[in-house]
This record gives sequence, structure tokens and C-alpha cells, in this order.
Amino acid sequence: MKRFIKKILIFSFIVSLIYPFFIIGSAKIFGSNQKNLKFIPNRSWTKKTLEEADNYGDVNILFLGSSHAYRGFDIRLFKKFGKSFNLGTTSQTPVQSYFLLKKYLNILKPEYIIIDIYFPLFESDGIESSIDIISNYFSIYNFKLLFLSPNPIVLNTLIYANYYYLSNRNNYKIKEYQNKFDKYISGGFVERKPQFYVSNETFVKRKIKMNPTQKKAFENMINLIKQKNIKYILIHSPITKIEYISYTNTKELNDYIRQKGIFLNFNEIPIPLNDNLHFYDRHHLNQYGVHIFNKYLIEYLVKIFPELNKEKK
Amino acid sequence: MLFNSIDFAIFLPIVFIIYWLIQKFDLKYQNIFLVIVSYIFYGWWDFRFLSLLFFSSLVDYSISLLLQKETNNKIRKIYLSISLITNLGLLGFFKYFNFFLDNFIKCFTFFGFHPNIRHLNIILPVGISFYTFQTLSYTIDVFNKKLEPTKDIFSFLAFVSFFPQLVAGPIERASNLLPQFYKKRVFDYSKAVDGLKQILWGFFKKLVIADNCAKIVDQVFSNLSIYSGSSIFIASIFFAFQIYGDFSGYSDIAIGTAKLFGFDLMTNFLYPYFSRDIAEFWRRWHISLSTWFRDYVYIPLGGSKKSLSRNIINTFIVFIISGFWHGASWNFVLWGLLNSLYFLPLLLLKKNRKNIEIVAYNKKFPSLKEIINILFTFILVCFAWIFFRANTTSNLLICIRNIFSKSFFDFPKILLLQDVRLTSFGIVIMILFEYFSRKEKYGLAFINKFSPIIQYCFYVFLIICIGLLMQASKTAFIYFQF
Repeated sequence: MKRFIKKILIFSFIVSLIYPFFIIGSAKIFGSNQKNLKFIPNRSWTKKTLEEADNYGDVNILFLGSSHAYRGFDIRLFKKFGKSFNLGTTSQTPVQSYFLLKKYLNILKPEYIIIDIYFPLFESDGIESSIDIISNYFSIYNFKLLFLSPNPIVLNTLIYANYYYLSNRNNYKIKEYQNKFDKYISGGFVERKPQFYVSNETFVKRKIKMNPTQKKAFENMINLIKQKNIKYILIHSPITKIEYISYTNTKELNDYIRQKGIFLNFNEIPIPLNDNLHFYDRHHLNQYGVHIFNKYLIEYLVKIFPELNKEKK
Repeated sequence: MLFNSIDFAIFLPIVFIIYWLIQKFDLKYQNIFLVIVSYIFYGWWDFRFLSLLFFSSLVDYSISLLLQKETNNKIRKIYLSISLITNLGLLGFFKYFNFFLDNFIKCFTFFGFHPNIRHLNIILPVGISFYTFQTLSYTIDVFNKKLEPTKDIFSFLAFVSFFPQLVAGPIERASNLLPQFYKKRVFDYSKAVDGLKQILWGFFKKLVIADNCAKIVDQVFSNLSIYSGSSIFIASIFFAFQIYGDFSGYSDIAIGTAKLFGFDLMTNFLYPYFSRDIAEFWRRWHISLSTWFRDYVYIPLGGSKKSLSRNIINTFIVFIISGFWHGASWNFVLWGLLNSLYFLPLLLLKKNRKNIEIVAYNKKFPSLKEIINILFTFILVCFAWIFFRANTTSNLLICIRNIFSKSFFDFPKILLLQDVRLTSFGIVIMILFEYFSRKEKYGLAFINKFSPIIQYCFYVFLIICIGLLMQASKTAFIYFQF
């Protein structure tokens, strides 16, 4: 049996050495965007956000979440509470939120954390967000994403991303992401040019099924925040009513999130938002919407954390 | 626990090492260990149903001992009935209760009554159809005095719950598997290597073929009304490879895993898509179930020993029961009926045992006639798979209507072209490997004639294919639902 185990170990070792060469070779022949390899840099603001976060210094408030976070929490409106940073990234699910929090907790040292909740992201496999981070931001720490959510796409993209960054390290520069509708605001917020949502979509009623991996990552993240004695609040940013009512199990989801901390679901709290006037698509606020939402959020924050008015970093 | 999960990737090496470490102690400990790990494996899915598995095993263990002691035939029949009622009763309740209730309500509604009966929210325990048949065969064999019952409860519990084949077969016969629990297992290097090869081949079929085919098939079958007959037929071809990759892949992983522990399980698939007629197909597809029905239904009914008409009736009965075994839906019954209709000409012409050996047994390539026969049989099988895949009878009607319409001649509209290309590549690899291995027990066995270096190249090739082509999200095996 010793011989058998020894041979398996040697074979596994050789395969783990050979495998990356095949991935790189495959990317050279078929391109870096294929079925199980998705190295797609420069398609989001992630690079800019994470590079800025590295040198941003201590903050009072840290925002986490998907595009709802980086497009929904305008850090300029939170200035009166001190310095804040928006660590939202594209399609960020609890897996990536937990991953980023672990990485940046000691860099940004926040006193308050605001976590954006978007129910559909709890059923996501999180691949899109993982490959967005891997493709745009080189860090050996990215391998942790693979352990949080093991997946062939994440593995292959990690292998190729590391090869790409290492082989281009002397003259490496990813072109700055540009989008004619967006403006990046220092601190992680992305302002959208005024656009309005014209609803012509049909929404099929459906139940959101929580992915156990996301649930576990979410709970780990909350435990980590609690261990560090950081004050936190969970927020579901407004989405269009037409989309929100298409989820059939919001009560169950709200109850679950409420067990984990103070939860404000702005789709259940009456605030004057209109699907056509204050959104630019079915689940993203436009800048008019952001102003209204942030105004109400700030009022709630002051009520929940009265000391916020006094603390400034 | 799914074979294609990280949990299993951790579970298997740990269990394997501990199992062979305790080899030096009494055989009993190895069997107890197998029972424990098998129950953990099963309980990983839903621990509540462990009691059902244990209860079912206990009933058959006790009844078989009573059967051995009892000489009075009437009382022996009562004992057998208790086993049949218990096992089939549990299976019937969990699998068919709502089906019968539905049909009962429909019948009454048809006659103008509106019974106010509520459905029960029943979860189907995974693998119940498989282990029920396995334990039943044991009791029936003991009843027929073909087998001595075991007094060793741990061997029996291990036989029923042996984790590699517990949830989706092969449905083992006690005469083959149970004696292997009585003998001391000694680690056999070449058997373990062979097991690993078979596991690798099983994973290739599941992850590269079945899961990728599933994506294409689901796209069409989830929205049948918008697809032409040609698209539905193309989807049914992919479904043929999906179900083969899925189920035979599972069997290969199960048989390979059993080899790691020193056990030999029966072959479950022998290249069924190389069959030249439907009778040959059924001798090569899900062999453990086909032979179960042959031994415990077809032969007791008289088999082929009586008149031709009786033989035909027996064949129809077996196929219809086999269809119903697959699921509580009229689709499966119709699928069984269709297969028996396919069988009919062969029975009438007495050609059902014409093709016993695998195609091109003593040749390199099949003849043109054989190729045509293989393709014709494959098309028949694909058409039957539509009955299997369409979830409801209304979906089935849409499929048949579209296939037998002008739209059958339209250019097929399959949206996921990249997936179609990559999946087709995987299918070609599988067909080539299996053709070269057609005289062996599994598709990767043909590489044994090459030097070790070339064999390693094949392993690396398959691993790269899996890494680059597998689906990102893990999917359960189709036969888990049965």
C-alpha cells in the first residue's frame, strides 16, 4: 500500500506541476476567455478600488457589497461622519465580502461596517465576482478565494492571472477602465450619469434559494466582525418594486438576515423612490435615487449609532 | 455525499487509509468500519433516512434467518410476504404515494366527484429503489434456498449499505457481494491501480460528458414549445450521452472505489451504444437492473420457456415494471412500453439473441451493415429517451408533435454553440476510447497495453480535459432521483 500511496503522491505532484503549463498553453491558443478560464481584466472598477484601498489608511465607515454598494453608498454624503471607503466590487457575494474583509480589516481599520445585502447574490456561485477580483488585482492572497469557493474556473483563472502578472511584471499595466456613463470618485464610489429606467421587462415570480457556501461565508463574516468588536449594520439597498415583489420568500430571507444583526431593508421601509425616476436599471439607483436613499440611511444611522456624529477620524 | 464533491475527495482517502490500517486486526473490525463509513456517507445527504436503511436491513436479516429455520412452506411464504410488503411498502410510500393519489383524484374528478384529499410532502430517500431491490434479492434467494443466510449482522449491514454502490447501484446480488465480506481482504496493488483508472474514466464521463450535455438538453427541454422537431431530436441525442455519461460514469466510480477496498462489483454497462439491436442494448445497459428483472420477474413468470405469446406478455410486463421502477410518472411507464414494442419484432423473428458478442469482436472495424444497425438502434433509443426526459405527459406530447411535424426538417436551433462544440469533442473522445476498450470492462482499460509513460500521458490528458471542460457548478447524478 505504501508503494500505491507513494505513486499517487508523486503523480499528483507531477500533475500539479504540468497542469499550469496546459492552462497557459490553452490560453495562448484559444484565448484567455474560454469555458473554464475567464481572465478578463479591465471590465470593472475593481482594480482602481482595490489599489486605492491598499493605501487609503484608517477609515470610520467601511462599505461592503456588490455594485449596489459602490453605486449606492455615495461616500461624499457620509463625509460628516469622517473618512469612509466603499469596498464594493462587481457582483460581490458574501464569499468575496468575507475574503476582502479579512484582507482589508487591518489596512482600513474601520469602526463601522455597512454591509449591503442583495438577496439574489445569496444564491450565486460567486464565480463572476471571484474572476473579477483575480483578473484585475494581483495578489498571492487571491488563492484564498479558491478555498472559500472551490471551482475549476477560479483555479484556472488564478493560474493564468499569476502567470500573466509575473511574466509582465516589468512592463505590466492594465489599461484604466473607462466607461462613458461612470465617474469614479476617490474612496470607491462610482457615480452614474443621469439615466432612467424604462420598465419593459417581465419578472417571473421565484423563490430565492440560499447557496450554503454563501450562507456560511456570510455567517463567518459576521462572526469575524463581532470578534473584532466592530459595529455593523446590514442594509438591503432599494431595488425596483417590480423586481422586489418577484421574490416569493422575502419574509423568510428577511427573518434570516435579521438574526445576524440590525437589518434595514429599504424595500420594506417606505421612502419616496419611484421605479422610473430613481433607477437606471431594474436594481440600480441613479444618482437622484442615491441621494434620497443615502439621506434616509444617514437618518437611520444616526438613530442607531448616535455616537457617529461625534466620532471622526 | 456526492462522488463529484470536495467532501468525497476528503472522505475517500481518509477512509481508504484507515480501512487498510485496520486490516491487521480481525476481519469483523474492517466490516464494522465499512458499516460506519457507509452510514456516514449516506447520512451526509439526510441522516433521518439512516433509520429506514437500518430498518430495511434488519427486517431482511431477521426474516432470512427465520426462513432458514422454518421448514413449513406456508409459514416460509408468510415470512417472505412480510419482507416483500415491508420493502415494497416503504418504496411504494416514499416513491409512489403521491402518484397514486394524483391518479385517484383524477379518476374521481372524471366521474364528477371532487375528493378533498391533500398531498403529502414526501422526500424520496436517495437510493431507496436500489437498496430495496438488493435486500429483496437476498431474501428471495434465501427463500428459494439458493443462498445460505448470513448470521453475521455486520457483514449483512455492510452488504446492504456498502457506500460505493449504495445510492445508485450496481444493484448487487448477495451471492456475489456478501461472500466478499466473509473473506479477509488483502491490499492488491494492481487492483487498486485498476480501480483508480476506472474512477478517472467515470469522472471524465460524468464531468465532461454528462454535465455538459445536461446544459444543452436543459435549455431545450425547459422550453419545449419554442423548439423545432429537429432541435428536440438533437437534444435527445445529447440526452442519450448525458444519461449514459452520468449513470455509467457513476457505476465506473462505484466499481473503481470498491476495487480500492478489495471488492469486485458487477459490471453495469458494457458499451450499450455499440449495440446492433435493441435486445443487445438491454443486455448492455444497466445490467444489474436488467438481470434483476430477468431473475426475479421474467423467469418466475415463465420466461421464454412457455409459448411465444406468453414470452411476449412477460417481456411487456418486465419493461413496464422497469419503467415504473424509474419513476412515479406515466412517462416512464410509456418509456417501458415503447421499449417492449421495440423488442416485439425481435421476439417474433426469434432474433433477440442474435448479437451476443460486442461489435467487431474479432475485427478492427465493424462492417457497413453493423454500422447501419448501430445507428438505427441508437436512433430508436434516442427517441425512447424523449419519453424519459420529458417531465410530464403534456411535455411528451409537445415533443412528439414537433418531431412528427415539418419542423423536423428545419435547421436545429441550439443556442449554446460553444458548449455544443466542446461537448461534441468530449463525446468523440469517449466513443473512441470505448471503442478501443470494447472487449474490456471499462472505457480506459485499452491503455493497459501501452507502456507506463504513455498510460500516464492518457491520465494527464483526461485530467486536463476535466479541468478545462467540466461544468463549474456540481450537479447530482440523474439516477439519484430513482
